[in-house]
Amino acid sequence: MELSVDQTPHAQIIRVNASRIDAPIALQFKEDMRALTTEGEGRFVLDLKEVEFIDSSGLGAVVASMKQLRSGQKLELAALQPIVEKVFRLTRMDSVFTIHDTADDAGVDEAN
Amino acid sequence: MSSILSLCVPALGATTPLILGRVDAVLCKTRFEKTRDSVQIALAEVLNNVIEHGYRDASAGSVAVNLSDENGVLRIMVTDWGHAYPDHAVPDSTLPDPTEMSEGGYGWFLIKTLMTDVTYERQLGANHLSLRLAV
Repeated sequence: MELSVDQTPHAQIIRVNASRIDAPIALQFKEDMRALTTEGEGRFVLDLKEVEFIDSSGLGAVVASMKQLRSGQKLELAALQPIVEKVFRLTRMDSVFTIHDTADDAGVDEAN
Repeated sequence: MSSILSLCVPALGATTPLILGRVDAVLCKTRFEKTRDSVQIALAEVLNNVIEHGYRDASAGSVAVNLSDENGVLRIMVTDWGHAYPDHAVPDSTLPDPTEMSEGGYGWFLIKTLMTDVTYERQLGANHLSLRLAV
């Protein structure tokens, strides 16, 4: 699992440099996200541009990443590819997360 | 009924993407091209279930995946030789309330939502899960 972080003026962008967030890596993803969000406050934007596929375990890991945040931190999503978008829509998790078309959009948008 | 793809491989986390890749490549060339995303999502959940529940006590087992064209309906048959499903039935699948931020419980919901018809049969020590998807 490859996660890289970019600090922008309005948010920390966490890029997922993998094509899948699925059962074999879900736990590692959750732990890596925990490590990246132990410090800092404000918005974290998960850039899913490279992620072509997510399963229910991966979805659970993204939800867990949101739940393990501290107060003052917020997790948003960006660049959902077709299958990822479909999984979030069908499970209605798209109603829980703020979702941006691209990470660049998210970096510009002010938090609501 | 004509066969589209038939394979039998070890059911492991590492082989799931390979199975999904083969299925996707084959569906591309059929009239079921538009079902690709739904098949990827649903079949991944089925294979995960085989690994996590069917073979929960075993280091590995086999899984067979058969795709066929039944007069314009895509039929996917997944067979494994692991534990039987609880109550010998397809599990219930209620979507968790999104506001509860559940970390699980989405698998069977996705399978049943994306497929037209899902049936289960336990026969001679094998689990046969049949998914049908009308185009």
